[in-house]
Amino acid sequence: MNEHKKEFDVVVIGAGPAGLAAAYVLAKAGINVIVFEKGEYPGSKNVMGGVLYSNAMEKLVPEFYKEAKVERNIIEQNMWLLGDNSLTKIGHKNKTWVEKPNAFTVLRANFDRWFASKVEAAGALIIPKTKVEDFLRDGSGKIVGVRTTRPNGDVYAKAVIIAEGVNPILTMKAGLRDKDLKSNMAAIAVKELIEMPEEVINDRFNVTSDQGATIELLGSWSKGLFGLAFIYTNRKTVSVGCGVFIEDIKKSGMKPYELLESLKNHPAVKDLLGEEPKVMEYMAHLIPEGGYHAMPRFYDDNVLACGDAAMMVNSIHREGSNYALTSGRFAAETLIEAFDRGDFSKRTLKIYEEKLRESFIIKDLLKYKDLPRTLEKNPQLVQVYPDLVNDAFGKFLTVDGTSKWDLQKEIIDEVRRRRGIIPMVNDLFKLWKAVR
Amino acid sequence: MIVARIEDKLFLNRYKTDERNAHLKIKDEKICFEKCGAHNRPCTYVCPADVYEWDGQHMEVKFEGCLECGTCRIACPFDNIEWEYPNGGYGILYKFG
Repeated sequence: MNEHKKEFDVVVIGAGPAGLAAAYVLAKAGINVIVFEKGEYPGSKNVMGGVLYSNAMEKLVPEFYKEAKVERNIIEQNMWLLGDNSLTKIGHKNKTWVEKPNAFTVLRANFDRWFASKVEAAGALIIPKTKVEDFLRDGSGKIVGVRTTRPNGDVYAKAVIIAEGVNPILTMKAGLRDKDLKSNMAAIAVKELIEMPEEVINDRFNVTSDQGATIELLGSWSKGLFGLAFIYTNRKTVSVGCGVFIEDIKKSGMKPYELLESLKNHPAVKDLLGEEPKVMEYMAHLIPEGGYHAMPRFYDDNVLACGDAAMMVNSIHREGSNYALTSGRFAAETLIEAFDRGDFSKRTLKIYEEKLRESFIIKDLLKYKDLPRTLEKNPQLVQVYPDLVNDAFGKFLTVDGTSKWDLQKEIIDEVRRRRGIIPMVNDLFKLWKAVR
Repeated sequence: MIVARIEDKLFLNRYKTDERNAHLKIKDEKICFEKCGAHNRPCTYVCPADVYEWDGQHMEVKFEGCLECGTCRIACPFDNIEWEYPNGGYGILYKFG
């Protein structure tokens, strides 16, 4: 039997934020696009901490939050430094975010499913439960389509957008990345979703029903590993999670979920979550943390890579989904230009890289290009300082008959004992150099 | 500190297991046995779902509980894990994410 050759204008691999954003822009431009997603539905395998900055999404769907499945508008952001039995808080609340939302908490299974329905309504075809295994190539080796796990699942296209996420399986097969991720280029994050009545959340986090707060936590929970934890308020649930470099957890002999339990058992966190928090789901995901130096090539003839697959994460600002959405949009805009020119070769697709370089994505990743290595080589930045800050505040605020002169001396002695004044100045200088 | 059992955590999740196709395999058990012992076999503790268990002789791979993160793939010192995503529609199915 003569098998009909399936052909689309563009194939998108993966229905996460990058792939959906790309498909949305292409479909709206009247381009025939198909999205393959290996999950049962878009979002069923997707996990993130849970903060989605609105700016990138606004550029795709203005005022998306009025119809999208979002949880709470974040109007307060906090940083907590944990000692063993103490806590120092830094926080920022901003009422302008009420009128002009800056970020929302989301649950990805809900949000991605909503976004996918929007993409379908724009005219894209989304095929779930389908894994892309490899690329189809022409005689000269150029990518001309994809091979999926479906029977007769070969699909041809003028261009392929790789939005496969953090594990760069197909990015490597496409030749955009020579080497796989190393254990110092990715963090393993684990997260639990904890049920909490709306009023209890409002009460404990001091917010109203539509509004929410975030907390990032550094310090004693991580047992000396370099790691960042978080607590985010959703509508009727709270997301609690933590991430550490694979390299570090490999050396430590600990398990990722033991660190999560250590976090949940910290007295300050226990106060927030209650005595026996009811867990509804347990999740794990990798975060690409290699930074600028670990990025792959972004394009080649007929192919582009977006989002996590292209290492587009700035974990210091917990930005990732907005990079994914923006790079997906850029990839789509580039292909629209390619359709106009009738040329899908590198010559035209380099527009994608130009767009990335002109945008905040590459500018920010360049700014922090040395940060992953600085943090990796200076674990004392998170091992010593949160504790030191807590002890200093503890001493400073405890009135026990010690004179203030002696108190100051005690604090300085403590700094000397644990790190030394010159190393501390050095640390701060290194950190400043890495983030300036 | 009370550490909740990983079995209890995984029990909360929804999976559609492809019983006939293990998507995670050890390429060569001899490497786990002879070489990786010196490294304490990182897959047995870095995996957030405790998929890998060393019984002294063999590596048991409980792929049914896999969260598809890829940590073992990156952490294995000998690149000894044949790692792929489960077939389309199978594997972890997050309700919330």
